[in-house]
Amino acid sequence: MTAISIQNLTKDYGNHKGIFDVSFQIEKGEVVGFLGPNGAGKTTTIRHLMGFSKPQSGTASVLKLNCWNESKEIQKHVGYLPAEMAFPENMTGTQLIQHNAKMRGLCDLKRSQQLIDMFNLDPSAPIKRMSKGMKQKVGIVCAFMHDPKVLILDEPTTGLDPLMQSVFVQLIREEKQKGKSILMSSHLFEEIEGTCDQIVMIKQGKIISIMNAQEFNNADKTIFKVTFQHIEDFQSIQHNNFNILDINKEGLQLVIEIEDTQLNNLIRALAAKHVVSIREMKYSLEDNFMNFYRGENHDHVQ
Amino acid sequence: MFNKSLFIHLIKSNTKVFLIIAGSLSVLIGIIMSVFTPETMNEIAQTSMDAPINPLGDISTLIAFTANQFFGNFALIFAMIYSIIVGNKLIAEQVDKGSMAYHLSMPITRTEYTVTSLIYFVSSITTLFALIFGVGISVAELVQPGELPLDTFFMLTLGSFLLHLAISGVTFFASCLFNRSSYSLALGAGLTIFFFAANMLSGMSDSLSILENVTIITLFDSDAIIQGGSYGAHLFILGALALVLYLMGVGVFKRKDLPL
Repeated sequence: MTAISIQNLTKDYGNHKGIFDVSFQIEKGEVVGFLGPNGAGKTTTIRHLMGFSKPQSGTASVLKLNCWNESKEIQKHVGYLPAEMAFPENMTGTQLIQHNAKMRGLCDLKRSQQLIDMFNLDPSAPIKRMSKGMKQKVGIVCAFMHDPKVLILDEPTTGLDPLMQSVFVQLIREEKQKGKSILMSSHLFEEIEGTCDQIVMIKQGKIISIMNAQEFNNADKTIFKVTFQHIEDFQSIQHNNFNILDINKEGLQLVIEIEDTQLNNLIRALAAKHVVSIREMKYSLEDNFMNFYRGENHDHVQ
Repeated sequence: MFNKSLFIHLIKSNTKVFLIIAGSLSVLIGIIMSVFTPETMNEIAQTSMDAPINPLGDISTLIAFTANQFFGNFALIFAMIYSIIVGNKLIAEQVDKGSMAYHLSMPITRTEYTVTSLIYFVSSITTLFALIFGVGISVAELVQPGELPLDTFFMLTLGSFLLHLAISGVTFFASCLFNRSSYSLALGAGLTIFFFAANMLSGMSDSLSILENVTIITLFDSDAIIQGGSYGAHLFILGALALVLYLMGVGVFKRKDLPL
């Protein structure tokens, strides 16, 4: 079953701002990372999913319900975490969570208590006095407390410390196991890399790529950076049949990509040489992203 | 169309401003009703006989004084301030600050949100004027029984109430129309203050009396109410204006894009 479906969604704010012909789908139980530089159209797309904006053309639907006309029904099953948390003023976190429960007709606050414990949050303070991270935690509790089928999370880990970020990643994994569908925008590569089944990349309002987990995890290949003591070793290893990505003559360094099944061959070949250091290069999305973000800057210059 | 939890939330978040306005107006009406006994007013009339203009206006009777000073000044200004602050806060400020995203991510339609806000707005203004009426007659009956004509006082309160509904209509509509507090205030508060200024200036000289026609405040004609003239049509216009502006506000907010 399709949890979120966006078809040819267009909203032109003029001046090349907006989103143009955006289409993608999220199936039930899928976690999708939504990536793009600032101002690329992530929040605009999410706005349409939440029913805050009316599509110029195309449609957005959640659980087969139209986002513009049937937002009330949709909100019952959606947990939403906006990029910038803004809560009604003059409330404490506890009051807010209780108000949330009342608005949703939720009698059982067990789940919210679990979340509060999980994130080590003290919600009794007035929200105005809370730090950014604490507000974010309150937002997370509000988004997850009614056990929604679909989660729409706009940069969910901003303001969280590294410890809490990993707690959050854990939470996403749990929710995924429960069969929840999650759309998550983020700039944190590790967060996306570790949790998402699919990545949708948007740039200047257009979808530029949709990748599967296998494609970006590159699971069966590893890259090593090897530094040699002697130039002879450095040269001789180049004659072996390894896939060499980069050669640094001054540093006597080689960057070698290798299938995991070939790992022993590399070790054997290196065993006879004088190796100063060998390091695994995290082949990650990060490289992809950096290229892709830089491209954006480049376009700006032109 | 109505959401109880949201209504309770709105009562809580607007309690402070409501209590300040309602408290001040209750104290003022209480003072007026207890201080301005026939004897005091005679004295004032005697001492200010020679003055070219009496700064307190017509003080021949308690009800005339109440109409001029209380409903023509204090209640007018205080209730305007209430309408400006709360009108803006209910919708535009929530959108501007982004907390509307929080409200609308609940299982609630936009119309339910605006209509519930509106019900809060109208019922708080109703409570305000009910309080004024209650305090007014209680104090008057305690201090100077029989001096205050109840039916006239009731009509004055009702007229002033309808005027403020119309003003709340203006600020509410402005609040629904704009996504920024500043624009909403520019229209809502700007128009309200313009009505107030036009009303004041129109009374100052004959050449400015044309301004009577551009302000809705003159539709609440307290002289006609006191002297038994015809005022029903004017009050009806105020009520109708309020209703139209409310409906327009709800309609506009339902259809627009929100930058949340």
